[in-house]
Amino acid sequence: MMEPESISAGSGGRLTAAAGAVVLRYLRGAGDFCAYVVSIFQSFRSLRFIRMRSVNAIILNQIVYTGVHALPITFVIAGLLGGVVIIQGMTNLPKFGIEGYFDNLLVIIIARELGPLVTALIVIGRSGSAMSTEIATQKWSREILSLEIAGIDPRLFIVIPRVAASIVSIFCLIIFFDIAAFMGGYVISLTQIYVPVGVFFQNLVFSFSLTDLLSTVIKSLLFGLLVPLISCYYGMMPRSKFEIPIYVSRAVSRTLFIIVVLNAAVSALFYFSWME
Amino acid sequence: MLPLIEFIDVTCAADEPLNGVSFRVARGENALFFGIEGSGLKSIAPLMIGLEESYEGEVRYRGAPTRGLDYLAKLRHKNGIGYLHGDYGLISNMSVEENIALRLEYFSDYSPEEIREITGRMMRELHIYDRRAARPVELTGSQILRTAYGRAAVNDPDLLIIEHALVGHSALDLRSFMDMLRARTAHPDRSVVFITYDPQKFVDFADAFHMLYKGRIVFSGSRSEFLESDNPYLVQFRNVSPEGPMDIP
Repeated sequence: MMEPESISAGSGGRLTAAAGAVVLRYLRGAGDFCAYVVSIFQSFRSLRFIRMRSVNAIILNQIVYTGVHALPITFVIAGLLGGVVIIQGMTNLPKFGIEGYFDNLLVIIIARELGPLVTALIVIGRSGSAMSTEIATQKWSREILSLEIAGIDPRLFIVIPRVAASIVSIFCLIIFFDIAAFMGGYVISLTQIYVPVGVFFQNLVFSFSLTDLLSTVIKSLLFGLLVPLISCYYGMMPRSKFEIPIYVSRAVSRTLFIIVVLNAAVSALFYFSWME
Repeated sequence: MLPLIEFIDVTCAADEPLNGVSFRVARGENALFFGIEGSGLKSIAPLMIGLEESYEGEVRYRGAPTRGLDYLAKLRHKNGIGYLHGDYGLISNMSVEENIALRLEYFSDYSPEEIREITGRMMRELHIYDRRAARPVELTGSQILRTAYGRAAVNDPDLLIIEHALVGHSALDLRSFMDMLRARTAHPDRSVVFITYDPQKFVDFADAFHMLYKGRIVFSGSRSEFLESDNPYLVQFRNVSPEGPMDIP
């Protein structure tokens, strides 16, 4: 019969080995992703052989899908979120005697945090998953191979236009999100207190700082870069039709995780007092 | 005269391994590779195009080795060879015209008007001009084949590879396509390499026949030799017989 101590040592060893294997798997995955990003940069070497009009069409289509088609849902979500923030503000701020700070509350919560984050979530849900699925299907139906055998680098033709389109789309969507959220907040605030629209938006503008603007620009750049990169990376992975949903799901969950972590990191970088 | 493409003792461990395969296809010659499933046929085209880079021996195109090409030279090499494969791989979100023009959009100095003109001419010859705005999902099987052929041949490559591409079409639908293929194979300066399980379909087009089995060439010969040789592998293949040197499960 095995001694209790050796059982414990054995299971501890197995646990360590299992944890080590998981860490190694993640490190290998991170290494593969980095190699993929490097190969995308290397594909710029064939940029001079590409006629920009063929790439422009892809960028334009992607902007229409990622940006323009996402506008209605972004407006609705932003308006409701702006309203909810104001409802919470109106019911809670008076308890602390700071009920005059609705504008600041909107800027702090909407413009700094919710705008970029929720916009990225919308883009991941709509376009990120669509990109992964589209590329995985193209790979399965050997469309990617067809590009390759035509001497066209699929990374340059597929990934880079989507990165460019996502950066533009996410930046514009964040601005639209903020505007819609402010409008939603204003409409809800009217039920409690009348503030002239000019005064409301003037206060909002005054509440904005250069840091807020810079943080939004950096977040939109980072999110615009990472959402298509990760989505395309996982889209290229499936080796059979059976694996397509597995990798699409992985693309969405990993992108979500990375975006939430990055959002927190950028906010900490910009707004922690020790950074000032 | 330099062969257009040449394999010198090529061995590779791909899905379908090759074991010391050597052959040459002269400029203007049309070669046909055939055999049973798993014989190594699947590895021929990827090696010619440069998709498969892990092999021993040498693959030469226009006299120069294809191994060790830099990034841009590899892309140019792939762009210079036409390849029509059985999956066709038309880009689903592009129209017939855009699919055919794809190769000309890269590595060519044609103006957009010239590209439109060349693509238009190709679509007329293939009888798909009226479908130029259609997406692949809206095409019939033979229209997909013709579009894929148009894309492979639009830049008039000196080597065109046709791999298992004419399966599942009615002969009547393929009539005009076969006429076009016949004209191409008659061109003194252009070569077509056929890779197929059904060599009889192309017997009138090819000048040289190579049969593979277990990654080796077991028969090479001219059209008359292909039709008359008593090579036991060829006889077994021609007779569709389980009896012979090939182990048929």
